[in-house]
Amino acid sequence: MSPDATSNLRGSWPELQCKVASFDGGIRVGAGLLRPDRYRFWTDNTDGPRIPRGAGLSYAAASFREGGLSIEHTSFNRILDFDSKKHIVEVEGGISLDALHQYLASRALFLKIQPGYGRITVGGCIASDAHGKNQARDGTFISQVAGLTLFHPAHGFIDLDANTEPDLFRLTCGGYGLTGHIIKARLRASLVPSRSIEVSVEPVTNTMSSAERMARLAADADFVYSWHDFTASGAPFGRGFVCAARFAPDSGVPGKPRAAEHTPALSAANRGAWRLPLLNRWTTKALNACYPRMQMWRGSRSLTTLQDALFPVHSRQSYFKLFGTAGFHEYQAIIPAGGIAEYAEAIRDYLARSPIAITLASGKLFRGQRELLRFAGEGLCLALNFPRASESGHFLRFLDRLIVRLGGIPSIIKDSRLPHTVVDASYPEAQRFRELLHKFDPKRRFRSELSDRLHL
Amino acid sequence: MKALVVGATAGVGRALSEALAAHGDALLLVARDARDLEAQASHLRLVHGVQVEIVAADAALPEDFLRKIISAAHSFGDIQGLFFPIGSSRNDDNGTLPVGDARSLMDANLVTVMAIVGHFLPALLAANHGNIVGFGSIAAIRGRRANVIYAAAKRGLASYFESLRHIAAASNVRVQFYQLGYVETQQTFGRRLMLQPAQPAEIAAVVVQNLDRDIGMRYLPRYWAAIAWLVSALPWAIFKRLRF
Repeated sequence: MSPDATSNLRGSWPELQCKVASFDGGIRVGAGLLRPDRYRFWTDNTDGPRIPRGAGLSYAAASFREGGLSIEHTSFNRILDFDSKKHIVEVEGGISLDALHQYLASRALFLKIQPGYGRITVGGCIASDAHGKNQARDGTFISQVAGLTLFHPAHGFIDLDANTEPDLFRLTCGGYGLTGHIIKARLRASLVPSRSIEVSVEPVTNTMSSAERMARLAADADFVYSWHDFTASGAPFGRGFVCAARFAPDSGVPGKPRAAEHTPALSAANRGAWRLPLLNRWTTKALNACYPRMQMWRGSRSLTTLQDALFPVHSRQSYFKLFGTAGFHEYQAIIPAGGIAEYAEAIRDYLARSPIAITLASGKLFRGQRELLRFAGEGLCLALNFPRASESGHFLRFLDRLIVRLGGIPSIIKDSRLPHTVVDASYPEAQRFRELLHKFDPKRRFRSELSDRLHL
Repeated sequence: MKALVVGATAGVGRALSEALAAHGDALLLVARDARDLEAQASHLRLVHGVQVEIVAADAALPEDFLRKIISAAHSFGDIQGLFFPIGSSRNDDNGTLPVGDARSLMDANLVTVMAIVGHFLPALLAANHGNIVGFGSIAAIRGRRANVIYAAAKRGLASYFESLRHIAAASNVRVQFYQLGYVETQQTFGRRLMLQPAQPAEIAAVVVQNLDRDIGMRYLPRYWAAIAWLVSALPWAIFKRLRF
């Protein structure tokens, strides 16, 4: 009955021994999980290797490792302070983007930079330095972090920002949880000009033309991305459309936002609940033929709510389940402008020889400097999804070689098998990341499958 | 309503303070750790715009606990709701606890609650309005070989709340006692249980919905009433063989 002793206790905290999986289904291991809900946990438990865990939705295994200990932050999910003049909100690291959005929206504010799923935690966004809907204009998550409080057993609680401990701040934002627990974050919110978003869609003939179009749109659109059909062969390969969204006057908003609380939460476990994959070459081709028609049927201009525009995955959760228990791959990479055409053509030629069901090909324009292991830089960020199957390994190795040859970088957080050799060859500051991390934490207390695999 | 919530920063207590704040109630939150209290109070003030004050105190020290609450209540204002989602258990509570530890468990689960109610009850009865809400545990339905002192304290608490209801029967002060089954808290985390634990927010929503109603004792989730009846009805010859 409820207050009985738990068989596994770590100190006074119950530890769940369980199977944990990366969201893409690529890594499944046994690990220990703690879900503390009180501040004394941080000072009670100061020994042993561990890794912080947010919502557990990373495609890569950033929040666990075989036989390791993951510390879940989701009970630390409160709003701690709000500066109504500077629009800075202080939150605990385990708060979800959706909960924070509900709070900010009631004050006509929002975070410009957030990934498309509202149940991801703020701590997770900082640790992966997530990007939003217009990286070229707004930057990555670090751009809106005014400061944070980190806890490390050897250093205690440390307040960081761009001026105080700048190296540690930049190492933590995009540090994959390896510098410690993100206890609190102070985030800069932006004014919401209106509650409705006007989305315009225009067709493009290929990936290169979408990059050129997005470059023109990026300066004044709030959200910009492209969609491409990589199942077509020959000249139509890569055809698609560019979506640009802007805040519109508050009139005629269609319906209410699809609130996250009415949608069952997506997790790595329930994503793989359907045993058989339903996405294959044939179904993917059919879906890719239907999707642009559906977009055109909606018209070149449509209205949506800010919440639905920020968190489109809420209404598309089934997509991930269609991959079945085996899961999927996402290969997301920033391709320098000069290599976009070659990248797309090389993929087209590969797929002509060895067909693979590319279920999603979507682009965003990126700008900025590469630094440490943050996924940032100049070029087109192209994400490819495809089912996890026997032939996908060869394709991934092909993509690895291609991106290194073109001078691009693959996303670390989106690929649960990315080898360290590829990271070392593509991220010029990978070694500097290691050196800074080891200098801050010589005992390397924070470890995950990701950090082991990348030799961090 | 101005409400006192004892054990306000974790599990059902945290969810209840959130539900009461959403209901528009001013809150005096009590728990052991000031850091948890400050975080919870800030959140409730910002999100729900209600008055929230805090008291950091250890329930295993009833006199000190009560003194701090009385002191805080002076500035907080007249309290109309007393909520006790507090529970303290130990893994070594197997019938051999030293007297000091046994007393601490009794104090945290029973004596402190009685001390607080005893202080505020005259004012509630005089005002002829208010809510006193206690929380028991399914673990106390029958004595077992685990949670020996805890279950005794919770069984005592059930009796105490029945007495309170009797005392307040002629008034509009509502005395409610919830016997909680499995709830998703640190006590159930990581354990294989026969039934799915309820979410603390679900429990809290029912408690707020039932305010001002003369419901006496309730099991939550409700199906635990049937389980409790079955466990109570088990003949000793069978019950003594069970290990749970």
